Amino acid sequence: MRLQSLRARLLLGLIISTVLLQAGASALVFWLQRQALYHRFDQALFATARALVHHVKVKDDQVWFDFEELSIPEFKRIKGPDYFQVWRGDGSTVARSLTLGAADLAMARPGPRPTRYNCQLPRDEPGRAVLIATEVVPKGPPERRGAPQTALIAVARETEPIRKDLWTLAWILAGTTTGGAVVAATLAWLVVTRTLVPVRELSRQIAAVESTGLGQRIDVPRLPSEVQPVADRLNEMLGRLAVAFERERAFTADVAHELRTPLAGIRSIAEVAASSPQNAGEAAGEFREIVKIAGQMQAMVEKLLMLARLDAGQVRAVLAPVNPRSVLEPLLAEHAARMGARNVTVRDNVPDETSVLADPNLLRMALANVIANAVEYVNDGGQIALETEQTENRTCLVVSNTGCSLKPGDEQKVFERFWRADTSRTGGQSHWGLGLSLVSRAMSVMGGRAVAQIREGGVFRVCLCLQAN
Amino acid sequence: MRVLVIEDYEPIRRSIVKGLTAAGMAVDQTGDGAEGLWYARSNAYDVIILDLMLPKMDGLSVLRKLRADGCRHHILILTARDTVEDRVRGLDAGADDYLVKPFAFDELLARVRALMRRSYGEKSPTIEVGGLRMNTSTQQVWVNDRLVDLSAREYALLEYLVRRAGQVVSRSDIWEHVYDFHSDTTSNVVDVYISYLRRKLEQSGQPPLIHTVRGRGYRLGEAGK
Repeated sequence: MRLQSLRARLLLGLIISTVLLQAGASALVFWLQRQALYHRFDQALFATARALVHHVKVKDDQVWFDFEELSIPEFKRIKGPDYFQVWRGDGSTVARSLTLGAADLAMARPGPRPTRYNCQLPRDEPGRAVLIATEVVPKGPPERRGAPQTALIAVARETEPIRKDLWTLAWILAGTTTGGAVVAATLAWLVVTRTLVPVRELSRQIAAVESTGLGQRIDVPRLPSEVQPVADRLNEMLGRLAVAFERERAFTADVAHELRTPLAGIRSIAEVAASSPQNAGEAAGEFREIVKIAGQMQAMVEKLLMLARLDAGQVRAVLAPVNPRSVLEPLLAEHAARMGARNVTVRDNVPDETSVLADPNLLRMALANVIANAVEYVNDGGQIALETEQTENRTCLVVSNTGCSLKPGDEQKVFERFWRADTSRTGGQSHWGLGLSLVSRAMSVMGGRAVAQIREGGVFRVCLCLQAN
Repeated sequence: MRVLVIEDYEPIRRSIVKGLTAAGMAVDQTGDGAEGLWYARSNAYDVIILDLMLPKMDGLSVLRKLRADGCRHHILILTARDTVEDRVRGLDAGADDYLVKPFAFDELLARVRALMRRSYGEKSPTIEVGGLRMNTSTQQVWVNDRLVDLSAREYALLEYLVRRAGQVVSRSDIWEHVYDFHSDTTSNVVDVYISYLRRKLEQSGQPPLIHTVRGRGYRLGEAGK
């Protein structure tokens, strides 16, 4: 079974280990107590056996037991719990306690050291015995003394009281183990629940994050150090998302704003024309104006669409060797009249044999925008220069124009959408600050990049860097 | 009634000027903020229509400078910026009205007329002076319940006189408020138009409506109305 919940895992682990620990400790206590009890029991049996040795005598080379002198009352009773029996070396019985009646005690194999063993007592009572073997030396002067005789003495006692004590102990230990396990489980549950409170709080805060309010941050006091990095990473992610959302929001607002102005133009021209009487020539003029504005709006919408497609990765660059001259020449021809009217000179230093690895359509679009930009912003009587720059494995097409009034630091902004140095529309209604954004996106789709530079003397340069062929 | 339009997007500016002129207003126009400020400082406009995003000087700066000068012109902001913060900023900077592009031209016209009424302390679009009744919304004029047909120039002149009824209005006042910057009007033309108005409004046997105050100008209705 896979435990998905951190709490269940922790609880299970804690409870199992507590129960195992308690059971082990109980078993150890039980075993030690049992050993101690049996040890004391055996010591007592052994002491009794030593005492009985003094009653074993030898007379006429025969071992006998001086029952008369026996002063241990327990053996003189008819009923247990204490028993003894004395044998000769050959196994014949010398004497037995009254408690045994006619029955025999079980005998173990005698050894040089006292033997301890469990045995069955006459009334089927479980018992424990100690057997000692002793050499009994006859009394009297050494010359008249006979050979020493072997005697075996076994002393036994019923073990029922010990067993009872051990059972009691076992029950107590089992009880404390079970109770301990319940208490441990309860404590573990409390501790785990309490420990996981910050995690629950974290999840609550994450759930409360809305797509509209990405400004909020996760702030859980006393978050465990293991979970803190999660919250930190989440906050970083929220930060990045907020920036992206804000950019998107600003972009949408810009689009709406940029479309609204020409739309307002169309609407007010049409409304004024409709409400005031005018001749056919005037009406045609109004219509031409409306068509012109609509055309500009269409160009803007197409640029936006192209940007969206580039952003979404819907435009695939098919790279092939392209000679940029084949793209540049028609573009320059397109703007020739306008440049001529403003006395703008073109210095074209792009070598005939230049070849770059590019998508012809994307390169045409990029160059068209860069050149349109240069033509738009070059000063009257200024210069537009076209050249190439070679680096190790890149070829850069550089388009520069004089008459640039941008401030240092504006280089990066020129690629931002809807950025214009002058926010008003006087520069002409066909420029929304989208052209260079398109250039930048198109270049990155082709694996190249666009760089803007502002040089001394008001020279603005855009470098389109592509892989050299 | 004289209006200044400061708007840099030419199609809008041209159509507003055309529409306002057709409504009988004298309209001056400019496409940049600095020039707009100069126009506003040097002429007595009843209403200024101001765009916010302007070259050379943005609309809010123009507005703040005018208000800092103590200018009491009624200013309407006409812009594509539509957020609540933008509107609040514009109105708090001292604008009297705020209209977002794209707009209905009729609404713009109605708001301009409302600002004009406010300029002259009026609430109702209908003004009555003696036997003369004028509706400034429909631009109709009645004398003793007889509808009078006026040309746009005549109407503009009469509207100004009616708005200042009871007061002596000098020729230069008329010149300032009724004719735009590019008019080739001379104060002699004012006299000519006054005579046209008298011919159309006054009937024999009735007391005169427009009085000539020698050396000072003209007065419509009785003094101290």
